[in-house]
Amino acid sequence: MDNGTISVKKEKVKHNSSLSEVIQKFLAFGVLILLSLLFGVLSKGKFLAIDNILTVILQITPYAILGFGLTFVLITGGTDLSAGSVVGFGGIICAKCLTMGYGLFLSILIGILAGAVTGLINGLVITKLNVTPFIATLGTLYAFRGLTQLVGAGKPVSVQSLDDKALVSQFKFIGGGTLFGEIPFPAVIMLILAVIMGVILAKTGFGRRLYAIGSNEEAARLSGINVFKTKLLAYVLCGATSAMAGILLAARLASAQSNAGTGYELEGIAAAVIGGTSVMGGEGSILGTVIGAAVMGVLRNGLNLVRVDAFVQMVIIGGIIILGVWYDTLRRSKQNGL
Amino acid sequence: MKKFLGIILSVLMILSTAAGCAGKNDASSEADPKAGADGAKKTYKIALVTKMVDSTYWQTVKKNAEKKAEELGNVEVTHLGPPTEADIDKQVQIVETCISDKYDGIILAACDKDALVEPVKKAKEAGIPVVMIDSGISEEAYDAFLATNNVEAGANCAKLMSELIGGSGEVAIVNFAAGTQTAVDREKGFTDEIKKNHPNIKIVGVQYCDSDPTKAANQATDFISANPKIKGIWGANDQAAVGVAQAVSEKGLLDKISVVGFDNSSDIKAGLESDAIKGTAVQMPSVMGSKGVELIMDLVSGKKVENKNVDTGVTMVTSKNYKEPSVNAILNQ
Repeated sequence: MDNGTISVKKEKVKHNSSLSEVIQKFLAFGVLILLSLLFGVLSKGKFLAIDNILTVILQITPYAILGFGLTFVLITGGTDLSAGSVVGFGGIICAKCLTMGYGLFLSILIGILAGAVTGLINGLVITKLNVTPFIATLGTLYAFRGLTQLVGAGKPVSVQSLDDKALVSQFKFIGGGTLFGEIPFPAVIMLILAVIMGVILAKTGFGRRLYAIGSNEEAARLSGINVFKTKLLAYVLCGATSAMAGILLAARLASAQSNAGTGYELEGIAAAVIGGTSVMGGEGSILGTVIGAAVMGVLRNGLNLVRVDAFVQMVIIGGIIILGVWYDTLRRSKQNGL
Repeated sequence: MKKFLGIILSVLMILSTAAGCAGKNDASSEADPKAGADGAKKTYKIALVTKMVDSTYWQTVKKNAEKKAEELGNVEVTHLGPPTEADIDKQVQIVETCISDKYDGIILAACDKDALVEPVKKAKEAGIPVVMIDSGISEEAYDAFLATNNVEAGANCAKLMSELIGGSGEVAIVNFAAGTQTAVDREKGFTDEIKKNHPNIKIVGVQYCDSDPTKAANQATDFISANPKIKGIWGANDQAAVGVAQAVSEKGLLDKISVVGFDNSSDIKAGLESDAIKGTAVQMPSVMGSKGVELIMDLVSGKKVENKNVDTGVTMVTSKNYKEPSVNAILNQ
């Protein structure tokens, strides 16, 4: 009987949130389409050229991948400000391994693992030492950036200048190569990751536990969810995806910059929030984050194409982020009122 | 209880590390007067404070400052700097700490021309000589200023660009930061030169990449999409140039669009080798580092500095001349 009531409750909650999510996604998606059409007209069609659309997809790839991990963490009601530093860390570890002759596959694996370890540290500081996520990851933002600088000895780690030119071109392909002469390879990785992360979030018990913790952590704990393990895993995933974004950045240039990813955590958070993830936890989706990242990317590229001044662009993008969050707050208060 | 123990342990650990560092300082400051009394050389502590620490450029300054220090034998150089160029407050704090740590001299590259005026004045009041390098301050409170004339260097880039594209066509600028004096000067030098002496060249836009090569690549790609006839893009520092070159080669337009850079790094070298970067203005950070230490030591020993402002100059290194021994030496300084 107990089981019965719980499952009924779940259904109800799920139904509500999925309905509002559809509206939210529809809105973000609508904004995306509107912006695309607007820029298409203003740029006299340049924006809508296939070549440019593919460019936009390549441009948003690192932010979107970063956003996936952040979406997981944000849904638990946490945050990860260190994600940008982990972008640098994962990239430089991978590049360092390449220069040490570890081979492509192993180097990438070590880079991603390094990211996962940073996530583990974040998770442990937050769950075991009970430091609030904002402060904990603010601290690790500095710590991981420092580690990145240490690994690179303050300089970029250049893969480009390695003697093994075949390795260099393979590495560059991962970050900037194209399939069928048109489709950017990193974008393919991003889409595959989106599907995997989306399924984990929407279809697995782990995913549902993330929402439960974000909606009401105490209730989740009382209903028998292992909050510690679930949160820890969310941060580990966030670290791993941040490192992946970093490896792609390093691969595109065949060089890992020790300042790579500075400020990217905010891009990732912005993408998630515009896509309907709530910074208060309990809501969000991977599809939304992809759309959010696309909105940011379309804005930047479109404003460049119609030659809007660089400083005016910053004001516009800032305004859009505020509008996104304002809409989210409005929707929530309405929901609570009902 | 366990948690409490953990906290105590970690606090103890931090304290002991701090104590360890402090101990070292005590030892050295105690050793100094003794050494002086014995008639042995005093070791002079010089702080090298740069705009950030993590770039090939600043590392070259540091390397050459340390080399000079080693030559002189009685000088110790400590390299300090904020995490990014935008962290002006942190650089101010670093300089203030250097003053209270009683360094014998400060070599400083200012993150901001106004914010660093007060700290430099404070250092001078405390009797610490200050030699500015690379980026100066708005008041002449310092003892000497060693720098690239960035306006001049930007103009040199414009001349090279004009040569490369045959004196006419559209070009774009990917600058590395908005509002940083060095960046402002380079951009001004470039645009003024184009406007004055190359009337057939049109600058179609300026973007700022925050020294992030990925952003630079994205901005360059957008320039190409927006201006299909574009013939050249200038990246105003090493990260900007590397990003721009990447974008142009991804688009397969290396034979149509000339990339001119600024500064020098292993990635820039690779770009010159593959002809993705047609030329770059190489500054002389080696001179700033070694000459900086030299000047501080002159000042410490009471000598006067004759030329307060020294232009350390740039060398235009191109994909055609980089193999010449004299140019190659500059590229690998």
